[in-house]
This record gives sequence, C-alpha cells and structure tokens, in this order.
Amino acid sequence: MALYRTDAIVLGYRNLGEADKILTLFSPDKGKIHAVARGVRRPRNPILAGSQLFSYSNFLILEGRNLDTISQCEIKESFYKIRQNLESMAYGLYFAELLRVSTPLEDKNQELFRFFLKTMYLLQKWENIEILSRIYEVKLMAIQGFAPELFQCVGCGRKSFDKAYFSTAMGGILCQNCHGKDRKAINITSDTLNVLRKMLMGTYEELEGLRVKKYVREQLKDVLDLFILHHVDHKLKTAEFIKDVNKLNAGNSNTVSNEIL
Amino acid sequence: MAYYAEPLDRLIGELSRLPGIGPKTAQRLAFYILKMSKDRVESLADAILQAKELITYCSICGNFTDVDPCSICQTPYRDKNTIMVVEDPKDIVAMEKTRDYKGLYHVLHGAISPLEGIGPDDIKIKELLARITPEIKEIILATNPNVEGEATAMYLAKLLKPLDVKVTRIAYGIPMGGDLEYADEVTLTKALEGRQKI
Repeated sequence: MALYRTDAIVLGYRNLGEADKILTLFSPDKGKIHAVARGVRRPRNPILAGSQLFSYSNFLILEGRNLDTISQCEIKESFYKIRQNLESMAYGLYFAELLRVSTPLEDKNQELFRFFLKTMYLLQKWENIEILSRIYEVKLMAIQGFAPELFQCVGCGRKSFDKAYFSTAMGGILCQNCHGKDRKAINITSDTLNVLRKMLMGTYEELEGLRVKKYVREQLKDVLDLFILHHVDHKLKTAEFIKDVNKLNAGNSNTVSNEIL
Repeated sequence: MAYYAEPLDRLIGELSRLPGIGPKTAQRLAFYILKMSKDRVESLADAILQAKELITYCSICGNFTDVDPCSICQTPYRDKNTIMVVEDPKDIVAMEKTRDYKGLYHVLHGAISPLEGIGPDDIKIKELLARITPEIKEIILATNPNVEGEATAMYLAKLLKPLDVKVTRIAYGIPMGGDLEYADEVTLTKALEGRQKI
C-alpha cells in the first residue's frame, strides 16, 4: 500500500461509524476521489480542519484496498468566508453538489479543478451570487462537454433568427422554423440569448460587472435548470436549500418594507 | 448448519443491530448475558422496556423526559427569559454539566443539512418560533460548529431577526488543554476575533 500526496477540495462527506467520515475530494491529479477521514467527528483531531466542507488542502493519503485513508493534511485555503454567509454557503453547497454529480470517479481534469477553485475564490466576494451561479452552470456544463450551441440553430444551422427557442434535448438554440423538432423547447428573448452567449464565451473577469434584468434572470434560471436536469438526470438536493434561503430573504425584506410603510 | 441455538442466535442478531456493535462484540455481549444471573437479566430487560415506554419528548422544549413538561422546563428558579437552541438532547446533558447555564433549552432534533436534503421544515424550528413571546430576551444558538450547525444557526438568526429578540451564537476558540501549534487557521482566527480583556 502506497502513500500519495495531492491537493484537493472537499466537495462533500457522509458519516461513517461513530467518529469517521468518508470525504469526497476533488483533486487536480486524481479527479474526484473518496477517502476516509478517521476520528474527524471528535474535537482536537489533527485533520479536522482540513476535512471541513470547501476547504482546500494538501492531503497525504494512504491507498487502501477498498477505500483510501487520509493520513495528514495541511490547509491551503479554508474558504471559511463562504461558510460565514448563509447565501454564499447555500450556493457553495450547490456548486459542490453540481460538480460532484456531473463528474465521474477518478477522472483527472486540471482545467475543471482550476475553474472550480476560481469559482470558490470568487464566491467569497462576488456581488450578485445568483448571476455567478448562472455563469458557473453554463461554464461547468461546457467544460464537462455539454456546451450548448448558442450561435446557430441546432436544427438547420441558420445564424440569425427572429425568435429563438432553447432545446435541452437537442443541446442548443432552435429557430422558428425548426421549433417543431422539439416541442418542449422554451421560447427565450434575444436579451436572454445574448446574456447566455456572454456567459459562455466571457471570462469571469469580463462578466464581473454584468447587469441582468429581472425577467432575463428568471428565464435563465428556468432554461439552465432544465438543461442541467437533462444532463445530470436527477434533482439536486442543495437547490432546495437555495429556495429556502431565498424564501427567507424575501420574507425578511417584506417585513422591512412593511415597517417602512 | 447453525452455529448457535436459535434463541442465542436471535440475541446476537438483535445486539449487533445496535450502533457501534459488530458481530464479534454482539457475540461477546450475548455470552456475557447468558452467564449473568436471572435477576440481573430481568432488570436489564426491564430497564430497556421501561425507558422505551416512559420516555417521551417534552412538549415545550423537545428534550427526552418521563414527566411532561420536563424537569428543566418545570423548575421555577431557572431563567425563563433565555432559550438555548441545541441540535440534540445529548447536547443538553453536555451543557448541564457546566452548571453555568440557568436558562431554558430548545431541542431541534437535527440540523439543516443541504447535503442530505434535510431542510428547515424537517427539524423543530416551527416549535421554536411558537415559543418566542415578548418575555424572551435572548436566544442562544448552540448548534455544532460544523457545516450543518452553521447553516442552521445562520438560518435561525435570519429567521429571528424581525422578531426583535437578541440572538447570540456560542463562541469559537481553542479547546482547553490544547496546543496553539496544532490549532488550525480558522479556529485561531476565530479565537483572536473573540479575545477578551483580562
């Protein structure tokens, strides 16, 4: 049995026995892996801090016959700020779950790792997290090989159209004439299409100040939710939590506005 | 071929279903029980049955109790203006051992866990909201300092904000008898933020 050293981010965990956890790690050298962290549910455990969700650490891992075991770890970035704010935590959990369910085990992908790490850094300071989430969704699906075709009709190849429909099944935009090929395709406005194109092609730096109108935000969410559901094939648990948090925020702002009135 | 007689096999089977007890431990316990005197075995069986039958949840705080409301909620000399929110009845035991806290408790019976799909409606948050009256001066959030506990604490803090009640969170820091050298960065930062004048 060999030891290996790797950087990794903790994407999730589940409890094992009395005091252990099985961590899901995402590493640039190994891809997504599972490893046992022994005793991390007791205080004063030396690998406790590195086994926390989102923490980015250098791990020393002992290879096992079935499961690997974490032997040591040294934190590089704890991303604690994400966990300090309810909204960023909810989205952080969602980003991690989306990455987890869309990535096969031990599939090394350095580009994906760098992209995820950057998203986590940005999550700590990005102003409108909902927009960050939409950008993350589009870009993650593109890196995973499901980039939607947004520049020409997937039915006939036409490049300009008056009305655009987004088809999740066909993976892109349909023009008015081809709409019949997928009756479930959703009509999207040219504003939404433009924002989607910008999100797919632009870098995070270019998109930082992106302002998006409310109806476009709603349309983007509907389209991307369906697109992701089509590809990952099951509902994400953490998306429910985002809904709960948004409901709470809406409730609080209502009481505030009532007080002002 | 069966290794054990049927009743013994059943006892081992039942014991090994308990948490943290594997087949070997279950076997050792079963053989020990066989060697015990009949009185002690009856007393053990009776204790298990009595606990199961008599212990219920307190209708006010949600703690395990044999009388409703529980002894903590009934005691006249406890501070009725403070409620400490904990995840589990076991946390009450830990907190009571300090003998420093004189207020009331509220047990959530779990924590919000987005990873496992446990949402705010799956734990006893509504019951907590129902307990908040104008007499309540402070709510102490004493959920665990892990992701689930933090999520629950932040969610509750937001939820309670419009109710005009003081909401506090227990402090983070270095454990007693610990070594600074081995403390992680997050704990150290938190300990530094919460430093106090001596």
